[in-house]
Amino acid sequence: MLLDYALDALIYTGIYAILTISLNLEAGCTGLMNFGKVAFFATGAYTTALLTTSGVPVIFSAIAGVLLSAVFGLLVALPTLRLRADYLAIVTIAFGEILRMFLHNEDWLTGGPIGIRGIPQPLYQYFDGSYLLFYLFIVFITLVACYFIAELVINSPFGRVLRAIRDDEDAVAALGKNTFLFKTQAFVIGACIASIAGTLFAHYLSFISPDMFLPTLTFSIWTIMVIGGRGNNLGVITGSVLITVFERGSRFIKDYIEMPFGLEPYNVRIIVIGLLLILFIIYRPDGMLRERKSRSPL
Amino acid sequence: MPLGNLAQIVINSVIMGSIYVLIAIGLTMVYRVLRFANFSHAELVTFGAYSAYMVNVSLGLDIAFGLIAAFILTGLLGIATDVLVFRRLRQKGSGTVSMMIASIGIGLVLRQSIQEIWGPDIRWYDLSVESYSVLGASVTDIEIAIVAVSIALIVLLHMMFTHTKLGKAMRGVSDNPQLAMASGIDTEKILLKVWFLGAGLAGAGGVFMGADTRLIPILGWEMLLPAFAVVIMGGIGSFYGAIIAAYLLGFAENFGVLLLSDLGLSTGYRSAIAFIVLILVLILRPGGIMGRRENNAAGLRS
Amino acid sequence: MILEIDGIKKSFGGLVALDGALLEVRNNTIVGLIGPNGSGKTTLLNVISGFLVPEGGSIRFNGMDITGFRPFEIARLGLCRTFQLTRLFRRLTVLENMLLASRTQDDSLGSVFISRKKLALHEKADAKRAADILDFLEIGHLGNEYAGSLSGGQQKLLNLGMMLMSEPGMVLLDEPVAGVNPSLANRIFEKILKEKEHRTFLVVEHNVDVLMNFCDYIFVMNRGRIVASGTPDEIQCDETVIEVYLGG
Ligand SMILES: Nc1ncnc2c1ncn2[C@@H]1O[C@H](COP(=O)(O)OP(=O)(O)OP(=O)(O)O)[C@@H](O)[C@H]1O
Ligand SMILES: [Mg+2]
Repeated sequence: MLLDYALDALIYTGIYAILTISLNLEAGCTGLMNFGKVAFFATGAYTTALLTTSGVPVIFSAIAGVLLSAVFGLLVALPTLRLRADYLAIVTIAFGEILRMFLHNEDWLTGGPIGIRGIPQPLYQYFDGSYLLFYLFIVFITLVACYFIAELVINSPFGRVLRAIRDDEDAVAALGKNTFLFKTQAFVIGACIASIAGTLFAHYLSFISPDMFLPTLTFSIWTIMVIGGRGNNLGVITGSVLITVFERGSRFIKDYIEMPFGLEPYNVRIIVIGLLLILFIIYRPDGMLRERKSRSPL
Repeated sequence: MPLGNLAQIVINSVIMGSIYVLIAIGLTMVYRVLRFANFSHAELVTFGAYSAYMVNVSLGLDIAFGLIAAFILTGLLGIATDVLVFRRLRQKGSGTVSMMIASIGIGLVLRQSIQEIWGPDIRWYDLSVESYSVLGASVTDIEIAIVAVSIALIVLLHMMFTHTKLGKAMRGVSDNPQLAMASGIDTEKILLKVWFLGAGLAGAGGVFMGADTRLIPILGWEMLLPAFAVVIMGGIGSFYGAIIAAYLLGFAENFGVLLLSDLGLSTGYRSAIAFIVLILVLILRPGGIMGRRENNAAGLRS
Repeated sequence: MILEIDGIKKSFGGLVALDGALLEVRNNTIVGLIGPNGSGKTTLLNVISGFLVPEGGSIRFNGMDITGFRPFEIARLGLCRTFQLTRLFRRLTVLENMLLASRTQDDSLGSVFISRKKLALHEKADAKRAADILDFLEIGHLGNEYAGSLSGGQQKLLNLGMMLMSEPGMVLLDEPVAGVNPSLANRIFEKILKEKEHRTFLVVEHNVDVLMNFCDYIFVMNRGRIVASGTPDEIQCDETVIEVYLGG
């Protein structure tokens, strides 16, 4: 029982870490304010849910999710990435809300507010009894892969341009780089990785509904990134561990201890996440692990 | 379309526009002076709505007192967010990115605190509503009051910006903070007044929205997208632009809903209309409808 | 003529910053652009480099009309600029700033996964070249510092180094030695003089004297127009110039 809780927390940690790595690439490294991360997470989750429940193998549904996310990423990027940074923040928040509205309203496709149930758990029959452990393994492998891909990208000449854009976009343009193209690519990669996290999420829970994709999730991911250390993928993973332990832990504990003053644990949890975000951004904006100096040349 | 229906849509548009305008003016004022998108504005709206609830339902006073209390309390809350968070960031020289992230954090804290205090369930003000019929359309006295008070506030603000020393100082600070400081204006003091007014207007908008519909902890969050759509359509920082844009969006939504049902789509997509308007503005006129070419360029990275 | 500018007009709201400016720059020369504060020098550079779109007039670079091109397109053609207020990448190291400026490195996303060996080789060669330039500018020891931690003068030097690193056909320099000590400023101009073989320079400067020894030709701006031009000797005796500087 306790072990299950721990495994569950670790699986969540992995999924959040993947999601935060994708945010880190966009926001931490490139400076793109994506406040609609949850939309791309949801895209991955719903795509795989819809396809696998109609018999498509997981591997193809995951790829479909990534492709659809990439398309959504492009659609959001094209009208906004030429403009000032805050426009992206506004449009991504809005996009997340519109997508959730769509998931809510289009019962015929998405099951509406009830969502989709019976999403198959791949290879379940082979790991009966130890499925959590197996799934943790899958999540872990994916996380490691995402981590290395992200590190590879950040520490390349391409990534250098991204980090330069974060500091001064016009100066990058003055060096002959098409900054719009770079930003769009970073945004689309971010969208794709988030979609993978969504795929893992859907198959883990095996049911999904629109209210699992609230903007609060995006903001938790932001908090993870900020306290972990923007631009530092190891920091971001550390942040995921902390926040998830706190998040899952407080769910676990609430069954055993009484909240003082009859406080609602869910509210307290989100207030703490908000406070952490504020405190870190004021007093420790670099996060726990500050960005490492890049090892150039390669 | 029968005249009554048309009249109803026009009336509804004007009411929505009158609510949007207050929220958007508050947002655009802070945006102009501090140069960041304040996402916690949404929760200021919600807070305003619930503080009027306290006065109106918990204390049993008339909603008019609720409105006044909401304006003042929310104004003070706006000041508090600045003193506790944004001013600290300013003093550390943090950029607009940090401000926006912090505003998200403030939003989370406020929204969930409101939910903790008043609970997640729907609440209503204690109002005695009288309905009138105009050209075959129905309109309540509350709605008439919303439009009237809103317009009165706009006129007052206009007079303040153009005729008072405070208004001129505010414009000075927002146009060129360094210059304003050099010419002896205490910018920090002016900023607090901008916060008070901006947040107060948000609070008033929240009361109106609550009176016209209902109270829920995400009341303000639901207004965030339309508010930003209005601000950007009007041109960031533009007072008069926001006024026009607010009413335009009011009309766009109410006529758009008709279109939705004609297309067989759920009217749940109502707020998607604001999104579409926002995207269209960004593609066609990123500096806003009022923006001249120069201002449009300002919407682009400078 | 590598650069031909004709009748450029640009205004900000009511303020006319460029009022039909025109000038021509010959290949492999160092050309000075001087003028009092607010005369429109920086604005002209912004227009040439595509950061501002002019309301009228045309810009030709190597015979090609580049009016309305976007900044990165113009830079790609080999017409590069520095900014008056130094702009570099604070959270990148000095060396990284230099590497970023190299125009021959492949910085596509695909290359990250496909041609890492090639990238690394190229990076090594670039790093060597960067180190030489930094050494010349006397900031070689700072290669691994964050650019943001450099002093103002060092940042100016780094900016210049990045410019040399990118090996452009023509360089627009906006007050490259402002705030740099005189002996180093001299060395910088000597370096520019040496580079003249390979490229063309348009240098904005306040101080006429600095330019006298190094420029082949000088344009004088006032109120958005070119009011005089000539060799340094001619400029030194030109009455309009004296008037602009004393009366302006
Ligand atoms: N983005 C802008 N918006 C509004 N006005 C501007 C802008 N850029 C420049 N100006 C104005 O245009 C005029 C020309 O400015 P510019 O910077 O080109 O002068 P300059 O010759 O470079 O001066 P300095 O020697 O001080 O660098 C000035 O009056 C300036 O205030
Ligand atoms: Mg200048």
